[in-house]
Amino acid sequence: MSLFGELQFGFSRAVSDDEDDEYSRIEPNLNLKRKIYWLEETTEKIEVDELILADGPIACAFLHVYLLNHLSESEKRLLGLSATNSEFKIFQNEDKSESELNRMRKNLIYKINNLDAKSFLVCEVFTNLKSNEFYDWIDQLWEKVNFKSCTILCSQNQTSYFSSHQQQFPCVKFLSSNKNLTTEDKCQRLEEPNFLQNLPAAMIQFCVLKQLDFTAFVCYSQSINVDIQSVKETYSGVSCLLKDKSIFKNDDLSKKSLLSVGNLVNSVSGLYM
Amino acid sequence: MSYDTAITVFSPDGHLFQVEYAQEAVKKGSTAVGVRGKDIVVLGVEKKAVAMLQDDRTVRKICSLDDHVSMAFAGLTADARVLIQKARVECQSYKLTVEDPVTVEYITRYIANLQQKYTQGRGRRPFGLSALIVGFDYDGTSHLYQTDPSGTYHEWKANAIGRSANSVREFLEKNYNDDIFNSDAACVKLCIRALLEVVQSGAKNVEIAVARRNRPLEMLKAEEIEVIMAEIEKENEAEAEKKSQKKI
Repeated sequence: MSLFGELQFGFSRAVSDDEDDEYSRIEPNLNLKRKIYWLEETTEKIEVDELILADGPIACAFLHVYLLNHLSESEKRLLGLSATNSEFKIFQNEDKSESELNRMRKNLIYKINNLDAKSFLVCEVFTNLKSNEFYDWIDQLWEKVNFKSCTILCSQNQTSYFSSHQQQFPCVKFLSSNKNLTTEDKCQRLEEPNFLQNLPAAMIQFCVLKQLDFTAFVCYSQSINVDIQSVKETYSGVSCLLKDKSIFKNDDLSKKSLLSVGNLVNSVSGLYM
Repeated sequence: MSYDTAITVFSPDGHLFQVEYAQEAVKKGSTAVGVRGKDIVVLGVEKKAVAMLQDDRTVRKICSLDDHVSMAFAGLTADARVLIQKARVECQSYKLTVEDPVTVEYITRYIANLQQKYTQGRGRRPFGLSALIVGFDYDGTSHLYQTDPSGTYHEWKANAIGRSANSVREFLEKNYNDDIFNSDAACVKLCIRALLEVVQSGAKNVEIAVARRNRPLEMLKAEEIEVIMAEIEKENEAEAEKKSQKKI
């Protein structure tokens, strides 16, 4: 009862009124959404033969060790990066001469001309995109770049792999629009009920829609972070399936680079030792 | 019903998921390698990157449990600290009671029993670490044991724990033989070579500890490690040269 005799109902700020929810809006924080920032202005669409998309730390480490590390600055041209607004501003202002390893974390997009007589667009997505960012990201890519086929590299934790047979991990599976690709010991077709998710799935859907060829490799790994064994296994699977058509190199430089990539996990966190 | 949140509940197919998850935590720790010889036991670890302002003396993967027993671990740092403390107290308590130092097997069994206890108690989670325990008994025999979060322990001639342990163990299986067992220098070299399978070359990236009969644990100096690494580098180059000549 109030001072004036009116009956007042108790209320709590912890419980929101249902009527209010209808009208309340949460402003989407546009600054936290990742999008592609292009570093070059072009009027025409860029044409490449193949898009190579690496989703996640293991796939990015694989690309860094077996492809990007073998190319000089003149052979790979930095076209853009996937970043939030603040990350892009930091990128613009920082020293560009930092180590290749740190650059891997920056979700960079490269164009490679004339590798095995083909041109490639390489997209590193080290930090996973959120579910509301996939299709916008792909649309932004397609607006700027035309590609005829797509190779997708990704990884999932071994706990998400379902099979009636016993499986040793890490292992690599593939999905392809090319029905003629046969399974190999080191790389078998991804069987039901397993499925790809997130950006790789969105990209496959896009390729099917646009009738583009695609091959997706997924590495089932014991660790979600960069793990040397998983990166090596990804190389075994990819090179086994692609054989002579593989542009990924495994030499002494790759071996040295693989060890340095392992340091990515050896962070300064005191939790594990 | 979820079988992975309670430590004391078996799943229908016989898994204790919390113990298995604890074994995953071990794989997040950096690599540790142990190699046993006749007169020497060597422990090698991947040195953790230390922050610029951090005192690296507080960041140690190899520690002594007693004058004649030492240990390296991989996994949760805080769990290791607690386990090491309990093991050290047990070593002294045993010595006071029995008037003899612990055997390596005894203290390993003590640590393993402690780890096992934490897989059966209510409201407690397993220790998230594996340990390599090395030393010499009073009869002069060398030992290398490994424990894991489930509380099992085994004796090994050479073993690895932590990240990429499988790769390192494969390397040890291919390269360990009786010649290594009988030579101190060969044991140290094998340990460093095994670590170089998964660690970048450079003395600053590894720590090597050597246990010898009736002597305290000795940490090899960076210069000594660099010399051995340079030898290994030369041997690798010579082998690569041989292989390329064979191809021609």
